[in-house]
Amino acid sequence: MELKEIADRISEKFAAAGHPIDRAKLEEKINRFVEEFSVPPAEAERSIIGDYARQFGMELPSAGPSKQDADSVIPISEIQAEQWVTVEGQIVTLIPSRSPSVAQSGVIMDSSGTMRFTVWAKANAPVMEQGKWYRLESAVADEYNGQVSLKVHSGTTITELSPDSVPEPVITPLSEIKPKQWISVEGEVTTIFPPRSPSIAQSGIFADNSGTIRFTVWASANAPLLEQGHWYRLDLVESDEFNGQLSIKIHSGTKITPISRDEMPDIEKTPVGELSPGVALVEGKVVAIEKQYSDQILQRGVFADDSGAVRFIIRNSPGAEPLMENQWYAIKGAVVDRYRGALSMQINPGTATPLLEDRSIRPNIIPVAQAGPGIVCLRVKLVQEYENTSERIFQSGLLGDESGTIRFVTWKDDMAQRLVPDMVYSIYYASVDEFNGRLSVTLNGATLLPDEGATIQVRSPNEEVKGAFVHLSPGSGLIKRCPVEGCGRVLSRQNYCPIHEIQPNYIYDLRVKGWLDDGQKTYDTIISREGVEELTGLNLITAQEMAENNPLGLDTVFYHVNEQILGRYLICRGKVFDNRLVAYNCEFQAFDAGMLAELMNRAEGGSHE
Amino acid sequence: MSDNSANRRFERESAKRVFAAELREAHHHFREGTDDKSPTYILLPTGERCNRVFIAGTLTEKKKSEGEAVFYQIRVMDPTGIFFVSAGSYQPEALHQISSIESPSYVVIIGKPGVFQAPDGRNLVSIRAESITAVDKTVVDCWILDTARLTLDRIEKNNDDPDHQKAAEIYQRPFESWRPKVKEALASIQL
Repeated sequence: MELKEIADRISEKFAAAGHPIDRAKLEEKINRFVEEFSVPPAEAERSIIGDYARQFGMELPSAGPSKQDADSVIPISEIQAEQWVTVEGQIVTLIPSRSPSVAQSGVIMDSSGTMRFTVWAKANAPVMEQGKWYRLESAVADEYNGQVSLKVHSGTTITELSPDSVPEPVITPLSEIKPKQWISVEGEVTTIFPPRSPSIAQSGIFADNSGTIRFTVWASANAPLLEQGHWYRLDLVESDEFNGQLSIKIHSGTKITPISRDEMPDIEKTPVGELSPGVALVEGKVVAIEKQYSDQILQRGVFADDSGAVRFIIRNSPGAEPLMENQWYAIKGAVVDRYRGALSMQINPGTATPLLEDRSIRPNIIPVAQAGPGIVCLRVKLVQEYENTSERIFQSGLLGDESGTIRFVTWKDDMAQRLVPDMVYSIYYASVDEFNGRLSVTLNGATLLPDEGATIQVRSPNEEVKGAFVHLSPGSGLIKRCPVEGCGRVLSRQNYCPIHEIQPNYIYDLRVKGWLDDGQKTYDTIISREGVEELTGLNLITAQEMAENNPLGLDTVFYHVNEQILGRYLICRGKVFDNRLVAYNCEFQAFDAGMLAELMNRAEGGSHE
Repeated sequence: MSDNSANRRFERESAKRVFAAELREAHHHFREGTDDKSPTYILLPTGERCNRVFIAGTLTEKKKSEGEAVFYQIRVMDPTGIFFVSAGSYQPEALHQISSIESPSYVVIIGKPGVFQAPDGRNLVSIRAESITAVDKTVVDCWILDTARLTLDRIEKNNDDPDHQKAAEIYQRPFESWRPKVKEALASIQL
């Protein structure tokens, strides 16, 4: 029998090393692993040998490292420190040498990535030129401050690659640019900003059909001035990331080629609902004009067609003209950008052509749960009104429909319209913003149509969340609350309430604070006393006794609760707001045999191999 | 944590459910953003980033290294393979919990996965445990169901997802090839 063989092998092994093992104990151990915990015999053997070896202080042999050869060309992105490598790449920049021991240094690139390199003066290597391709044989990679770089020394062979073996540069769509790349791009200079530093010649926004990106032209590049509204092809620009924002840098190695009108890629008309950042041709109607807030902006409003709506903006630049409300326009070369998650369309002078026809638009009303940053149409009622926290706010609160709820705000202006509780409204072209991960609808500028007599059943906030309880936070278990009427805040260790200071006559309570995680989303969860009692079988009285009779005090209850619920699957019912869950009722999840059958079928489903 | 960050809304990364066989093949890791404190992720071969995992199985081995600092290395086995887990003095909660768990035991672990290079150049994925709890078999079986469901969701995820596309590119392995592992895991549940 197999288990017996394992026992034989193990006891022989240790007996040979002068450590006899109690056979009965060993067999019991193996049994426990294999029978009780269904650990495969090989793993059990390994584990038990390890245990005894440690007990007797024996060393177990481990696998030795293997070697790698340096002959084949390796992609630059895969180079690691302390390696001898052969690479083929293009010299994208040369950096003036600051030390007599360095002949050349710069950046080399291949299709996989870029790397700094240094050629030692002692290497007597041929001088490499910017823009050309070379093969470097037996260079060595080393690491300084976490950055890997390539060193060319006397043992390295450098050969220039012939032009036909050099790969053709590919144009990268702006939306696919990643930081720290050397790439070629094509697009329109849509905006130019005044340079803010003498080292910068020009900066602005560059756009193609796929997206927009900021660009910077270094003064040291000695590049011709780019003109707003013109198309260019830029070869060998460097992409960069700062504060999460991508940009491209034009330096002395960049080749700038203007593209004439006929070479320009055609832009097809895009439905407003399908816009993404970049340059676009759109047709639609001005459905709302907002009050403007600044001198730099000539007009702001909402532009819509049947597929959706977008906020537009016209800057106060020479030649700019406002659009007319309720008029259809074709807009050529509209520049679409994203701000706080929402799209916004910039209309440049001379790009809007009025259309004669007036097509009707059916505003596309969506459920609240589907609302995202941008312009939306909703059919909702006022569920809750908040107290105003700012003088600028006219009204704020919570709107809801059958699918859920969303915050709203109406700022003070002379057109502001107050919503009446429980009245159903159709709201056209309101803008939704995202701030700190929370959505909010602004009603200024939107059309609000009350529908008297209509009713909506707003989705009850009582929801069920199933997940694993992955973290119990401090402030869980038995807690003390402030006894002042209407306060009930949790007291800190010194019985201190943040409002009412020291409170010796506190009230005990039970609760759980922590994170419930369903594998996709994590809920900042508070389970009330009822829920904790249900889960742990502990009630307030027994918890108090536990704390009083134990030197650890309140911590005892914390550890007790932690031991019972951490890492367990729970079903909690309560109110969900964003990622917060306030649960009144909780239970442990039982094993669901029906789910097992269902998953078995599903796992079977797609495997046709 | 500063007071400032306490006022900000904190979104905790969800703990991804992943079988040992899949986690072992993950090797692509990246950092979101340029900040020193920005989170690091590893990309699962079925196309989802994870910065934290929730795993379960049988603790089969526990090694304690005593030196300057106490440090535990643990092996945990699920129906598809082995997880390598560690806990040191920076994980006081896990350290405390591990000390009282003997092998073999059923455990669940919440922790952060990391990719390490073995001396022979292979990639090893190891989990730094934030917490570890001894549980009964039912919890492990619930975990297998949950992990099977979420792994199937990832396999069947629509291809527009950028993480999904990236995984296809990096791991060069069809998502469908993970289906038999899910089946294997489900089949291990004895009713």
